[in-house]
Amino acid sequence: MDLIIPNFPNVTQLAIPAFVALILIELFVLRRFRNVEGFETRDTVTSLMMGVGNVVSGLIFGFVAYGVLTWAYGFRPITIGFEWYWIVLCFVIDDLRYYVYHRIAHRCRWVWAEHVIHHSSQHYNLSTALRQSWTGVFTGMFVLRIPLVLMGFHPALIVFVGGINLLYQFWIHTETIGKMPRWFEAVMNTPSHHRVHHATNPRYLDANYAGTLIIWDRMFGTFVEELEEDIPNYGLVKNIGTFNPLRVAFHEWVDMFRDALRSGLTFRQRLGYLFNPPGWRHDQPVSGSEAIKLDFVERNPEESGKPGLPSL
Amino acid sequence: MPLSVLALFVVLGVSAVVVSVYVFGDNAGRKLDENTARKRFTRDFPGFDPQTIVISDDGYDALLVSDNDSRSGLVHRIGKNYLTRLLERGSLRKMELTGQGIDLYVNDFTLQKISFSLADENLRKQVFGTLPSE
Repeated sequence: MDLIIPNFPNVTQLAIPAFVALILIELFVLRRFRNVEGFETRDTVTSLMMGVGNVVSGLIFGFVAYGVLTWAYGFRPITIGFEWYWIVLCFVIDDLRYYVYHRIAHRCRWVWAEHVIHHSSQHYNLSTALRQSWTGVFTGMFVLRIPLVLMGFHPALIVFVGGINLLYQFWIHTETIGKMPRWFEAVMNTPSHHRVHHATNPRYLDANYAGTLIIWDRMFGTFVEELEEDIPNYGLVKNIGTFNPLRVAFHEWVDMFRDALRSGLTFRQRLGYLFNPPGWRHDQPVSGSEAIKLDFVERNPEESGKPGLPSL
Repeated sequence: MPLSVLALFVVLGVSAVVVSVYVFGDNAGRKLDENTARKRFTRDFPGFDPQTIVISDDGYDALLVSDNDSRSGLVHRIGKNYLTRLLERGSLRKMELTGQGIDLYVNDFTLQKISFSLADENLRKQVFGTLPSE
C-alpha cells in the first residue's frame, strides 16, 4: 500500500514566537498582579541557551533517531494511515511512551544525566520549560518509539504527535496558575501536577511523570497531589552552582563517569553508578530519593504512608 | 522552516526575553543571615544541627558547624537562590588563606571555587581550622 505522507509541520519550531509571547506575558503577570519578579536574568539566559542547544542538537543528531525508526518501520506487520482517529490514537499511545521514558529518566542515572538539565533551575517559570537537554540522543531512549512503529504508525506521524506533546507541556511550567477545574486536573497534566514533579520536597520526589495525560500516573501509582501546606522547592536535591550552559549540559555525565570509574569498585558497582537511580551509593543500603523519603517519615511519623511517602 | 527563519526567530525571541527579564526581573540577591542560612541548610540536611554559623562579610556564603559531630556545611548564594553542600573529607580540592578571606576549591564540576570573604584575621584562621582536610 503506497502511503501519501502528509507534510507534518515542526510544531515546536513554529511555536517559538508563542513561547516568547507567553514568557513576556508571564513576566508581566508576576510583576503586575503578584508583585513578585519571578524571573532572574542569568537563570533565564541559561534556560534559553539550553533550549537553543536542544534545537541545534536535534538538527544535528535528529537523523539518528529517525533513521532507526525508519529502519524499524520496515518490519511492521500492518500499515496505519493518517486519518484523524489514527493521529489521536498515536498521540495517546505516544503519551504513554513519554510516561515510560520520563519515569526511566528519573530512575536510571544514564538517562537522568540528560534529563537533569530540565530540572536544574531553582526557578519555575515558562523559561524553565525551554531548559532542555543537549545530549538526549546519547541515552538511546528513542528506541521506546520502536513499538509504535511496529504497530504500523509512520515515523513522521510519531515525531509529529511527540512535538504536540512537548508543545502541551510548555504552559504547565508556571506558578501563575493555581489549580484547574477538578475534571481537568483528573485527566490532564497541569501546572499544579507539574510543580509537584519539579519539586524536591521529600513527598514530591519521583512523582507525576506525565506528559499530557496524568491518568498514567494515577494508573501506575506515581501520582502525588500538590498540597497547600507543602509549598514546592524547585531544583535538584543537590543544586548546581553554575549558570554556564556547558557545565549545565554535561555536569551529571561528568559526575556519573567519575563515580563509575573510581578505583576499588567491582564491575557490578560500576554498572550501578551508571544505571541505578540517581543518588545510589554502593556503600549505603538505602540511598537517593528513597533515603530522603524514609528520613522525612522517620522525623515526621504522622506523614507515614501518605502519597509519595513510605510507610514506617 | 528554513534555517535562516528559525535562526531569526531564535535570535529575536531570546533578545526580547533577556532584555525584558533584565529590566523587569529580579536580579538582586538577598544577603544571608544566620536564620536564613540555618533554615536553608537544614532543609537539605534535616539531621544537621548547627551550633556555629559564620556569615561571610559579603553575605554570599555561610559556614555552619555542628559541634556535636564536628561536621561542617556550606550555604552559597547562586544568583537569587542558594545551594548547600555538606563538607566532608574530599569535598575540597584545596583551601587557601588569603588577605580577604578563604578560597575554597570545591570538588564539584558546577561549583569550582568559593571565595569566603572574612576580613577578621582571627576569625578567618578559626574558620580555616574547622574545614575538613582535602
